[in-house]
Amino acid sequence: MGRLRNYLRTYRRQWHLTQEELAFLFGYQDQSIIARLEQDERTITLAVAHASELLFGVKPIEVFPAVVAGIEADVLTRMREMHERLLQNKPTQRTLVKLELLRKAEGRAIAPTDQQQV
Amino acid sequence: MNAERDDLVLAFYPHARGFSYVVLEGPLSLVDWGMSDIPAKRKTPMCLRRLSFLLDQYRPDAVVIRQISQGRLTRLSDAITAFVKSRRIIIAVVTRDRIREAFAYLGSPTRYAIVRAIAKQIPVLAPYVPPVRKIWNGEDRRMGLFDAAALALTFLAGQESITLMEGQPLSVSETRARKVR
Repeated sequence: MGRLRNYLRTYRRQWHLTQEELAFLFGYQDQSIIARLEQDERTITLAVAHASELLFGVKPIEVFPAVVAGIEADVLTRMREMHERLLQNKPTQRTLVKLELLRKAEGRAIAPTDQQQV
Repeated sequence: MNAERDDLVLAFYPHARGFSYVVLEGPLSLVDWGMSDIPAKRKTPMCLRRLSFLLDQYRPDAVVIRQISQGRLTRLSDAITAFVKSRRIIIAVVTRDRIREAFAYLGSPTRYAIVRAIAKQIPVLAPYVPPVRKIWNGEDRRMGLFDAAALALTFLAGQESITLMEGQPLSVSETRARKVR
């Protein structure tokens, strides 16, 4: 994963777009929103993440690695919690399906996970 | 420096008109770049202020500057060195000879040949390549940007034992996509 938390400025400048032009493409009227997004001072919305993917042709994790990694870490923590809870009861068919979902979901995680496996 | 991730290198190139900088994450991934004209009277404080902003924004592993041992920029160069050291960041001073060594594959490269080689390796910078200078013209301000890039590439070539050579150019997205995969 990249070193910086946010590569929006890098991708914008790679394509020689101004903040004003990117604000227009993202549907904002105020270019200062782009400045705040680039400085990590504003929460990345689904609309911004998807617009970035569409515009630059790269996945959100490449533009906003810290945000995506943070979301993944949170979801993985909750998945492990749920996994523990499911194992405490007698396994039913539905429980096994849920455990299978959690196992597959962890395999899909992009960010590096710690030692604990689901 | 950390071996598991690419080093973030800020090359800061003060010159007669102001300064230029590039931020590289690894040898081919350009993160940011810029040039700024600064009035001569306020050069040192303004350069240090902008450098401080860049250090806060990127928190680089190393700052690379060119060796200036004589002339009007010596005091500024010393101030930059002291400032970077005070922030406990590695500072590397690259000589002109070391840059020529790093680009030795070009033969005996002129500055313009180095500019073209950099633009080929980092295509994002290609639109900034200035026209060949006529002897009656002053130096184009965009040359500073490539001087900064040459500093960073020379430093990384020495740091990571990579050899700069002509090959398939990589864009920012391609190099970043490789890292994510």
